[in-house]
Amino acid sequence: MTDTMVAGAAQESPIIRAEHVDHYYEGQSGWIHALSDVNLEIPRKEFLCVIGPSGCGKSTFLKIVAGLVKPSSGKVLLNEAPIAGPGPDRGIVFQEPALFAWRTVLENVEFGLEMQKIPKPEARKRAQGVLEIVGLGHVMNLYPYQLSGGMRHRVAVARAWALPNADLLLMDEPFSAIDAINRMTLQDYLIDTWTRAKRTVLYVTHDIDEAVYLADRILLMRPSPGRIGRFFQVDMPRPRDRNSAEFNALKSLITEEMHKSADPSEDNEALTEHAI
Amino acid sequence: MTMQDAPHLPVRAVIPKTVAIKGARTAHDFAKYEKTKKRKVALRKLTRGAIGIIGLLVVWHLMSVAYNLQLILPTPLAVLRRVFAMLTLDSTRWLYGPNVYAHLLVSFQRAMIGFGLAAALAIPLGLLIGRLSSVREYLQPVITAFYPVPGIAWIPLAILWFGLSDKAVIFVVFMTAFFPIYYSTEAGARQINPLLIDAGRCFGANGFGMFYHVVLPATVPYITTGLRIGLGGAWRMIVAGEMLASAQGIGYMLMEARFHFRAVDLMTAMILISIIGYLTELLIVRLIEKRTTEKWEVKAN
Repeated sequence: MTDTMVAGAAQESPIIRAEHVDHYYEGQSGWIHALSDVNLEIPRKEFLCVIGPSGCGKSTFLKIVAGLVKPSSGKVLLNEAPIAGPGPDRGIVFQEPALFAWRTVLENVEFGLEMQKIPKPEARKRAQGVLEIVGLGHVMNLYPYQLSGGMRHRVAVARAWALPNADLLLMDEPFSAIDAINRMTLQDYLIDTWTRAKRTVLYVTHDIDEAVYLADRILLMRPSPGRIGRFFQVDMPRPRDRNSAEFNALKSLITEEMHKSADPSEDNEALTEHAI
Repeated sequence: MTMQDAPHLPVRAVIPKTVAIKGARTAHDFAKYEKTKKRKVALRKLTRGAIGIIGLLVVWHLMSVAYNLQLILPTPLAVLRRVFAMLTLDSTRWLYGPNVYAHLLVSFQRAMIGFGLAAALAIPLGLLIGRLSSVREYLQPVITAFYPVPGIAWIPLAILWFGLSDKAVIFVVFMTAFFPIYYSTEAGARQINPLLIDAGRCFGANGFGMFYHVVLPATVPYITTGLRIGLGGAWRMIVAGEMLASAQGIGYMLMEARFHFRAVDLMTAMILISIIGYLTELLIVRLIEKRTTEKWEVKAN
């Protein structure tokens, strides 16, 4: 590594740097090697989709970045500092909306702001603004049970988005429980919100179509043990056309790679760059 | 026709028979229909409940009259008259000191203080022990050791400690109401969806904020169940405690009525306890539920 690169790194350091991360946990049939020697850098303001078959450790990696899980070995740095635990400097959206049933939509979005002792009027204004952007201004005072499934997911996204100091957004298959039509709408809301105010997004999914539609870069992980597979750079302009030849070519390429990666005979092809 | 009859048609469209509809039906019509149906169901429930109660009263009355048991089993009507007489402060054959409201008030105060103290200690303790393994490891054995001792067993010791006083009765009420509230709260706190705790942590809640803003509201359905059982226990215990350790209150009235061989007054006192117990349940537990679980549409699973 040259000196100039080191100097440049100080200014444009990646928001996440994972070094030799290994993780084991006890499953129903013995210990599972969930992550094996994961090395990854996520540049600022990148929309990174992590994709892979189940058991490839993609959700585990997200939980480690969230601070909910401590890796067995190796380190993950957030802004060059080790992650000590969960915190409001990262926004998170779970697979289920995980809203607080006892708070209205607005109060749910305000939750993170309230916990950070942001003055009430300011928190309210900010939460209202985010809710308007995701198209939920008209249901702010309802309770979660009064919303449709898709709306609840949008509230979950808004809650994460409202955090003022969260430069990193972690999304763990946030729309996987939603039907296909609504999922596309939610993806559009997400991309629209992201384009207005870019932040780093770490988005875990098992849906190839979703990854190609959303991501700047796609990381394909390989299973048992979970490890880095291949990266795909996606340079298509947004909004992307799901019917374009380019879109579908990339989809088939990733599908093919994913099938290959599920086959244990294909091994150690890690870290090959592919651009389209 | 089965699938085997038409092997060349793997998929058969099933066309539903159209329902004969007289005139156009709107959502409004269906809403009206549903509303009448609901009203009918409610009315039926009420009628059946009334039949049960009336049945009991009839059997009671017949027993009393048929076996000439008025002295030890007065008729329902006699008891009802006595309830009315007492509540209107009719002094005929009144043998129990000041008046019925004074006794009710004393019992009410004792029950509420004992129950209130129990809730004030049991809820925070249940939340802490349910969530924090360190606290659980220290305190669970202590609570488990006390739990099997029935509240009534504390009465002699309470008399020894506090004399024949308010404090003795409040103490046994506390010992009785504490455990159901504590155990419900603890079970609820332990069963909170871990995802909600994760969400709380990720969005910056910790320490007191986590308990106040996440753990407590998530446990409310269990807490109200505990409060309901604890309140019932408190009223049962107040009577037992006052029978043995007090010279006033509704329990004292019961004991005195027995000494005077006044079955009608015994039964009257029992009915008053039932009424005041129901009213406090309505005022405390139902009110909390209306403002929490019913508003949020959440239930204990």
